[in-house]
Amino acid sequence: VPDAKNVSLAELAAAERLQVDTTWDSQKPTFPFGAHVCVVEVDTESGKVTVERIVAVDDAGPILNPLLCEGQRHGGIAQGIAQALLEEVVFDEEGQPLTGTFADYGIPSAAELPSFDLVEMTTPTHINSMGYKGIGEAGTIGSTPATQSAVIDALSHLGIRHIDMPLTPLRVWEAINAASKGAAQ
Amino acid sequence: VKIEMTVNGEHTSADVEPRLLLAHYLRENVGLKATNIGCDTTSCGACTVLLDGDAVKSCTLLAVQADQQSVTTMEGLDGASEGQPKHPVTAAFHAEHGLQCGFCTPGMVMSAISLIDHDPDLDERKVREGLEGNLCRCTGYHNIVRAVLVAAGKDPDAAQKAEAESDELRTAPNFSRGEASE
Repeated sequence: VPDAKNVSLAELAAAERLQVDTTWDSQKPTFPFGAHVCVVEVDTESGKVTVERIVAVDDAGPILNPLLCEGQRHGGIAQGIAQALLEEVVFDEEGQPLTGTFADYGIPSAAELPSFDLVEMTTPTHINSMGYKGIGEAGTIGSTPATQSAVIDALSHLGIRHIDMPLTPLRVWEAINAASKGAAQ
Repeated sequence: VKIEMTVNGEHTSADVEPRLLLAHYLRENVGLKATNIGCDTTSCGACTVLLDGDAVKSCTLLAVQADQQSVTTMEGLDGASEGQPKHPVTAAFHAEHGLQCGFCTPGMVMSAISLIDHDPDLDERKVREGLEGNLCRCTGYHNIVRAVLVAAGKDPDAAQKAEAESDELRTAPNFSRGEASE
């Protein structure tokens, strides 16, 4: 755009091809942080766990696109809950996968999940000039232990301290059954 | 076997193998590729289309079973030919960011249209249970549920608040909740 002092990005893009080639290398890794809290209900008769509520704080520094950032957090939280409660790739002794379809592999549907409470927090990092930290996997990291711990907490009065993930109804029922047998003796 | 069906308002016909699935008829014979095939086992719902107004999974239906009937795919919705979200459901998915990778979206949208058609008074729980046959890996369903509530004329914030505060059972009807042992 000749002789222009102020040019909008749209005008510039219309006039010539916009291209930038650059390499940027972060000297140090950034550390997003957060906290997830989960409320569950456990049916002691069947072992089924229902997630009632999950509250998530994920601090990724300043956010350029809040819409996409929230979407990443939602998806991550769902995957994290699913890892804690449902999803597992199972093989038989000969290495044959037994969870080859969605009929065998427990991916959650909308009915298995609640809506998510997201809490905003913005702490810029000093490691880059914009303060950005990153969001991609934050949801999956917090929600799995939050869900797992909530179930164990719900069963702690029975003396249960650990159940291997995923906390399927069978595993939870077996743990409750074993604990109540132990108490009866 | 010779079959005829109306697809998105247009007459189509073909001489097909009896084993041909409706999903393959739509994609290969008619050339409409919005209908995705995710799992081939009726689990994921990405292939959902409307058959005479009802949501069906087109990977489980034979093309011959849809003979003489009317099918609607995502391409048949308002604005689809111009790539604009003009249909109320696609507009709501657009406004609420109800998709990320987009693979489940055609099935989700067709299921949602059928759900809204069949129930004039949806709430969050009904939407979640109504979309149970459609899987999504990206969104955690949060924004999809909001989009369907918006398309159904509901305030998504109020609906989510009502569901969060509700003590209603969140398990399917007749599912044991331990009452028997009390």
